[in-house]
Amino acid sequence: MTTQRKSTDKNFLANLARGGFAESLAPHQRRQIHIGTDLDKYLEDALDDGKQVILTGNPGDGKTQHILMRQDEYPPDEYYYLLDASEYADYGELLSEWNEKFQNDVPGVLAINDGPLYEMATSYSDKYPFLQSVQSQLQNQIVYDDDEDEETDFDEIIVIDLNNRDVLTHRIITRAVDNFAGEFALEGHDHSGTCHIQHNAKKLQEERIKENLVDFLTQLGNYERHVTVRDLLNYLCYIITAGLKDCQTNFGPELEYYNLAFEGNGAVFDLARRRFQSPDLVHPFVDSRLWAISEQEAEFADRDEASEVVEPHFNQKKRQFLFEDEMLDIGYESRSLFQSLQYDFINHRNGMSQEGSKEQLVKLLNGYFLPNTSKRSELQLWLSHRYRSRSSLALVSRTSVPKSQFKIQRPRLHPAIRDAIGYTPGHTALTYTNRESKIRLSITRSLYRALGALDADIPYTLRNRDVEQQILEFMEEIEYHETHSEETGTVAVKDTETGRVEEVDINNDIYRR
Amino acid sequence: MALKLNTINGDASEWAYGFKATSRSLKPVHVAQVMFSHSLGHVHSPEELFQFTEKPSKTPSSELPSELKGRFEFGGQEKDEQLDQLRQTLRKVLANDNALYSSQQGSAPTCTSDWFIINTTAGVTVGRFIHDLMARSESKIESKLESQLTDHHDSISVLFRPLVKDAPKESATVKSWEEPDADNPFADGKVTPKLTEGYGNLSKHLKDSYAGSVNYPRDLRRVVKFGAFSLYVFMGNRHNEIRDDENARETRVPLVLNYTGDRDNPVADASLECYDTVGAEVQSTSRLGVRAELDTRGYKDTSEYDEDGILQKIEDKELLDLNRTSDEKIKEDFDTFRYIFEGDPANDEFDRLVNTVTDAIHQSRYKTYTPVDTIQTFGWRAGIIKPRGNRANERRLSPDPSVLEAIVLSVVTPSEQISLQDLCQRLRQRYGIIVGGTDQDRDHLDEWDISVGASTVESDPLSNRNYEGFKQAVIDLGFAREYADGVTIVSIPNNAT
Repeated sequence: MTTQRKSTDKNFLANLARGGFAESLAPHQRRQIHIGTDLDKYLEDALDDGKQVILTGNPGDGKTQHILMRQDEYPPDEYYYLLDASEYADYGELLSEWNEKFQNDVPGVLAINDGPLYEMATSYSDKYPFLQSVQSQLQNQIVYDDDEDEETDFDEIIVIDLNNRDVLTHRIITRAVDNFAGEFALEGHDHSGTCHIQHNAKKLQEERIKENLVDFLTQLGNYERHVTVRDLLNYLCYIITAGLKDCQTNFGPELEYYNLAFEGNGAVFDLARRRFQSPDLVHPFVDSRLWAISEQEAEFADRDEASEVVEPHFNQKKRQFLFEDEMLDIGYESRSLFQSLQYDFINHRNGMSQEGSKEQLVKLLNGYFLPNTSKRSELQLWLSHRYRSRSSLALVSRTSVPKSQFKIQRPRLHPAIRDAIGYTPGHTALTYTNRESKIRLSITRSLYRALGALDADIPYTLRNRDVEQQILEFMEEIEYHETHSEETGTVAVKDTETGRVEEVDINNDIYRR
Repeated sequence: MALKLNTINGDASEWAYGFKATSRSLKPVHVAQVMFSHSLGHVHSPEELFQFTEKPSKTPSSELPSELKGRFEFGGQEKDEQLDQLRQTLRKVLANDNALYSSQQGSAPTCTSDWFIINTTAGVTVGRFIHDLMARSESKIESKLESQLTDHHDSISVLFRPLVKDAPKESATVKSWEEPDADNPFADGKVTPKLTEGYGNLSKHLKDSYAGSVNYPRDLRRVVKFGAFSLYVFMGNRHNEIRDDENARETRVPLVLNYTGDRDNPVADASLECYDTVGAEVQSTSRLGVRAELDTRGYKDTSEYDEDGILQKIEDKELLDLNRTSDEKIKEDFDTFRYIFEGDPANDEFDRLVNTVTDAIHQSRYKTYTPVDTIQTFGWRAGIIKPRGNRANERRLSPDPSVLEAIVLSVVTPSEQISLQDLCQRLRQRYGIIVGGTDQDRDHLDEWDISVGASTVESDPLSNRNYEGFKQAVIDLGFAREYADGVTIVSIPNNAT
């Protein structure tokens, strides 16, 4: 029986590699693949407190898995579980059932994808008042200030949007690797480590390789793309099995985990390939050593054909180096390559000094319009106004707003759900505050990069208009909320073709320079 | 009576559209000037401003009136040189729409407040049409525009304040748009009521006064951008609205917006076809206008204008009144006209004459600037079609984000939350815009004999890649959020307005 179960595990692993998911798993398999996180405890505490928790997000975010994992301890005859909202022919039937449970104070966990949940909350909240709380929570999952949303009621219903959950974290990846590369992959087929599945699983168990894989995947989490738990599990299962149920005992490099890590389909593979091709991963010393090794291994008759022949070998070697740097022993560690990923932005986002980050950002924004400026204490507001479809001939500015009216804000999960999941913001916000107004400029990685690139003094006419539009709209909103004299002021005009800036002081209807 | 092709061209346009869409120089800023002057009821004559913003190469600062120069207290010896340099840069602020000339006549400065609204002569009737759309919307749009334009807190008004604040203010020549003779464009089912409704919706998104001022020129741009789009849609749909009922199509002229990101795919090809269809429809509108005008002028009288009579008048060089002095050119013009007439397949002499005059108007040799030229040039100037420039070809419908913003604000009210599919449906039904978001897209295109061909590399690029591209554009505007299961909700956040 045990043997039969474990032989099925291997197939199950291959199925997962091809995109299988939790609803079709046997209970023991579900338990075995489950990656324990803070969300488990959070759900159990909520059920103990008699609350209903709605897990929302995208398919593959692990909603169903979490419900099925609860059912042993919190039996379905006492708790309300909704595994699949799409099974209901219409929302009316579902909501009627849900409302009955809610009115009877039945605690539970409901898995509803965010699209249908949003539609229900917006279309039926008149009939079912508890949906107003759902709607409000959906809109306030992320806050910039803990006191920003004090009105939303989290007492009876809690919505957790798993779209916001960090999956590519050190903890989750490590646990997932341990789960899949452990007993699950190794036992049940007696190939003494010679088949491709056992070979890859054993490799992933090696401490150094595991560390490098975890580091590599954690870095992928810095790209602004949502990765689901299913994406991660599919990835890990694929790099162990290649999606093959039958063990291959005589296999070539194409079934090595370090090649498979860049060959499959799915979000993590896309990010892995993107990372591999990124210029950040180019290193003169590492690359030249790997190229030399590849040249020795490759066979080529004609020196002119060398690069074509060597390149595939080099790519494989570099993939191997990313995880097996110690074994290749070229005097360099792969993790030193991992560190360069958009370091400036990450530093800005995670910066400990609010004031320093703010000043740096104000300087970058000022520098967008006036290169080489070092002004950090105030943000100069510019206006571009025209009715035709073409870049501006001239920009105008007469207002500067002191930095004290801005805050750097980092989005965070709402305090009521902060303990449930991990969240890494993809942006920070430069927020202008003036009495009742809050205007935010979202500082994304691409905007930060565009601003930083201006150190190279890119000519105005070659700049990305979308970036400028974003900044100018932010400034125009601030101008609307600022009150200045309509009679006096110092106005700067920038000729965008020549870069020349003229500044005049207007006072008492006289111009002075 | 000899025919002046330019006159017929203009009169035909007026008959069909209610304005002369025959101006080479029509730019969005001209339309803005007229819309704003009609909303305000007044204009300014800032003589000093025009003297100052004249190119120094034409009028050096040394030649400026001393009273004007007295407004500049510059230190140093070379005041005139300094002033030249300053003028060179500052004039670009008001020339940002490339319509600032040496005289006020024909000029249209880029405007943020009423100080820069002058009694412009360009784009007057077109501007009145768009103003009429606003006025009929029964919304607060005109009062909001007035608040914005009579506020002078914006940096451009402050910059030029010493030169304009005391400029003579006079009543604007405000006239209502005269509806075309062709039909009642506000009748049910026509596009104009939808454009009026659009202005009503847009009005709800415009800023109110904040702490006593409304310093938000972006709203002025929104109003003008929607006006430019309205003009394009109105002209594109005219032919279908005024042609014989039995031939009329039930849907708007389709406008496939190309959001695929490139020009070599079936959606981009369909967008190009739509652009061409708009051109063909506008030309067909001219044909109906020419027919009406020739009829009014008595050319239907076959006792004088039978085939022989027409040919004889061509032979005698009496049929056309050409603005030429060279006998050789005049002969070539008449010969060309005769070739067209003789080659036209229509049976009826009047039809042949109408076709010949229409075709002649659309030939470059007669130097007429047609509504087709106008709408195409205006389209790229306003950011509706790409690529821009007089020499570009193969243009496609690909609006600037600022144009799309105004269009979306015209169909979604501030409190609404609608799905992206509903937004696509509204855009298609009201304006004929097709991006791939509705089940009726292909039927709509079929009705206009436009097909989105198959792609060898991707499945249904209209409903997939193009729809995704459009969705991203709306998300980038901050007007939509994407949820799982293909649900994208469109709503206009408060901070966007």
